[in-house]
Amino acid sequence: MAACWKIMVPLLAAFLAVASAGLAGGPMDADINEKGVKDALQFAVVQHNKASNDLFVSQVHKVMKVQKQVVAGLKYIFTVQMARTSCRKGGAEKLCSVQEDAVPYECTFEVWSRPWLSDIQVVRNTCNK
Amino acid sequence: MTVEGSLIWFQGIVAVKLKYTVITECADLRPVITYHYTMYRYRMWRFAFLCFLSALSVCWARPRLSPLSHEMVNYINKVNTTWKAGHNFHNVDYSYVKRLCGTLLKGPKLPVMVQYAGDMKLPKNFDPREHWPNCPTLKEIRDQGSCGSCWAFGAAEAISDRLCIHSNGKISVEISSEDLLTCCSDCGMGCNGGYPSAAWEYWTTEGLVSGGLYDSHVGCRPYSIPPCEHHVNGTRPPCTGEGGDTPKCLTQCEEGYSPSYKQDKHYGKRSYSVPSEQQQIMSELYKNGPVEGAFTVYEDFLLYKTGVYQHVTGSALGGHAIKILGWGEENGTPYWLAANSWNTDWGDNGFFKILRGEDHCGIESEIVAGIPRN
Repeated sequence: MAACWKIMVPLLAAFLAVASAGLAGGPMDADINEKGVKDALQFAVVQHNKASNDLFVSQVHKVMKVQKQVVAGLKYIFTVQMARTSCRKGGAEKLCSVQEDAVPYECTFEVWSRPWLSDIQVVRNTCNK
Repeated sequence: MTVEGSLIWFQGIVAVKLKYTVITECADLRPVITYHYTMYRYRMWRFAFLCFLSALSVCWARPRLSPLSHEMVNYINKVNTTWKAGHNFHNVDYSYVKRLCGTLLKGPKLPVMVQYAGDMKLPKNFDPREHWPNCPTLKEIRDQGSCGSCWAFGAAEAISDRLCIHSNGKISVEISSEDLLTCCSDCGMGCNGGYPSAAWEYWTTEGLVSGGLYDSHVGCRPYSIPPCEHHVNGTRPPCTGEGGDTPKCLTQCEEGYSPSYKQDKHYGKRSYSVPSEQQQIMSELYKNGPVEGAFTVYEDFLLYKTGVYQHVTGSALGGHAIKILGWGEENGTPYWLAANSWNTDWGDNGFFKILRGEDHCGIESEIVAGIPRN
């Protein structure tokens, strides 16, 4: 039965893909465990920290939604909960844990990639903080 | 449990569901229609399942590569396929999503236009840029930017060409992708994707104004999303603010453009879909000009440089609409000639060739077009 589930889970995913199919140029759900998706999110987080006025580094607390979309190139769309860590910006610490009293805040990041131009950039970095 | 085992098991579930649906909906006024609809859905599911299985087996047979990496470029260029990939310098950007099939269009259905192709002698190669040299939009490549507006670009580009072709070069206008993208609410979701068939339908009912490339100040409503530049020393304007939002539908022309928005509208007489047979598509291109097509984009497509593209490696990224303008054969490989909307530095000066005759990545199954109103 376990083997059966191994077959059925991706199957279900494929059916859902058919059911929600339709648009040219529309976003579709992606898997956060894939390396490319992870790299894009990491890139977005670095840019997010660069752009913020906070003294401390924030990191991803929880990934809510991940999508990818064909535009002029490829766009990743992330909805994540971010939280402030105990690491100061520019500090040497490597292990940054979330501050105990940190209140998570939600952010949307969009990362646009055009490999033929060697270009990757964050085109949206909006948070409700 | 074997794969065949689960297939039978799954079909069993569908059959039960089917029976259930028919029984419960028999109380409805139109049980026959419901039944046919259910059968149609059942067939669709079954098709999706088989499609998934075949894609899975193809996947397993292929080597696992880090997409969009040097390895992928090298792999494509080494496997002796019909096209060449270009080098990129990032290893960061790829997506490896397991979703397969079903990313293509299901939008509103247009009437099917069947051509009587018997009396038409079609050449082996057809490049409309040479056939209709007085129509400059045939050579134009646009840039959709960070917006999922491919559906509006494919339509606006082909409509511009058709207006010129059908007027024997008298009407030479760039039809506004912006007008279509922002004002057609039935077309889908703007920058989050749309239906090519609805775009052509919109042209016949509401018409489209003129409008050139970003910042060109050509026409009534030029494109408002920049093809922006990340590098400081680039030729494109730098990126500002946020991307991804659909611009507003403005029913007036840019300042300095003289005809009014209403006066500037160009209309289609009718819109239709073209059967997926090669001869039908070729006759349509030869007789009436470029069409809009859609296909599934895989990771390797982003790296295309020259030659006849066929999917070699990488997973599906989603549906994408483009303009198909001609056809030909290259070293014995039949191809469609198509224009992408990713600017001229992508691919073969913005154009590409894709395998013809076997509905590769669905390229032949979603063709739509239309005829201008005089």
